[in-house]
Amino acid sequence: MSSNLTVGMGEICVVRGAGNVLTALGLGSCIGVCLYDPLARVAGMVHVVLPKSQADKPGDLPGKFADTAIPAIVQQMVNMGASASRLKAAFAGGAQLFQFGVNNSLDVGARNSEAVVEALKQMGIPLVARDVGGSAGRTLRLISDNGLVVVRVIGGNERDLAVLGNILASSGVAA
Amino acid sequence: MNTTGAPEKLQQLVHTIRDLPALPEVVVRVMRLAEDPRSDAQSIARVIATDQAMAARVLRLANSAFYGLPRRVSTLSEAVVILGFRTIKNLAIAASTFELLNREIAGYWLQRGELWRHSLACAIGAQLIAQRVRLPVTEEAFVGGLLHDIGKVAINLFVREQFDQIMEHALQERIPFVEAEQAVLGFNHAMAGALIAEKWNLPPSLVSVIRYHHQPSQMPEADMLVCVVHLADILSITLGIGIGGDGLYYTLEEGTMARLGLEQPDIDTLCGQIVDQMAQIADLQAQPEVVAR
Repeated sequence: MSSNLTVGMGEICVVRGAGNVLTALGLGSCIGVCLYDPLARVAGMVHVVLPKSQADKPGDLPGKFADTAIPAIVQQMVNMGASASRLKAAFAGGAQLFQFGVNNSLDVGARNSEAVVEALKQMGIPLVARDVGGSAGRTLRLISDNGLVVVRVIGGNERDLAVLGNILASSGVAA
Repeated sequence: MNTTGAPEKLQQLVHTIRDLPALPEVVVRVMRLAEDPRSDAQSIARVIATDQAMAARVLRLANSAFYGLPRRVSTLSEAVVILGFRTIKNLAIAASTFELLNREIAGYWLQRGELWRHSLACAIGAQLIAQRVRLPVTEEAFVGGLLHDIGKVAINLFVREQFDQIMEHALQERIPFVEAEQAVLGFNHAMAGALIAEKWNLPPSLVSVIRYHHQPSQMPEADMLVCVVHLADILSITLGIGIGGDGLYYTLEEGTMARLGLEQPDIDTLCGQIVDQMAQIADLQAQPEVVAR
């Protein structure tokens, strides 16, 4: 069954089969991470809000923090029939407040971005592409048919970021 | 940059604001009653009940997980007794500005509902920050947060016409979007918001919050409430809650954190709390339920 699913802040969404579109709307400093297994056609997206979970708040959604989000989404995808070793990743978001010489202390976006890279590395998942930084809000889409990842800057045009289902997709690009 | 025509635009803005709806009489009466020590729960409930749509929204908000009531309240007077006059006043203001803030604001590339979400996140954030820094006006912080961007509704059409020019000016001069707005249009959304707040006869402290929410240091006298709403706005923007084409092209005024006595770990905690509480507050965009008095 095909569906359009919106992935809210801190949420993880995993689907199997073609015809599904996963969307994260209005990414500011948050990061939308897309994972895809082309063989099992399992697609997943998580909307990460902050870099690090707080040990004293066990009730939090695992998807909220980069360090807990990546292991949790991989587990959900494996439960749906994906193989962790076939997963590829792309992500977008991590925007920052406008900088003009002032040292801004709100670097949530940059810290989120670093934390996602680190968490993917720990799980051994190749990062195919990312679109991070700047001060524009973004919308991110993952098409389950082939793992196409599309980014749109709010008020701008859509562009393809990666095709995670393409077996030739180079791994570990991540400029 | 073309700033000719700014005085005519200002004239048009004044007309636009004149044509915006007034704050409903019901809210004005609730605000007055909530501040009057002789009022009782029944009289406030009776006033709210005269507007059925508002009554339904107030009850829906009161029953959100956000307020953590031990059981469901089904009557307005019960809600007033349990939540208190000031919270009910906030709920009435929120319910009455919902229609206005829930509009599509195409000038800022905000889809229908996005400005409402942003305003609510800022209201929640301002209340959380006020509590954290022990400012005794948490209720006012909530309302200030809710209304801070009301001016975007009024200058929407002007921004739509010149959005590209404003953005280009911001990037070129490396100034925040609100300052570019001012340079290109001759006014900005904070100034327009303050005019609306004055038209609504809101207290001067709220007019100031709206006018200076991007530039607390411009205030003649330093005001913690303005700093609180400024930070709450910046956090909601950073989190991407209801952001438009102006995105994160804003800045946290230097010294804000120090003035509030906050540090980096506080920011992460506050961001987490805003996200949690946004998930708990009632969705007013769903169909209002039928309400029992």
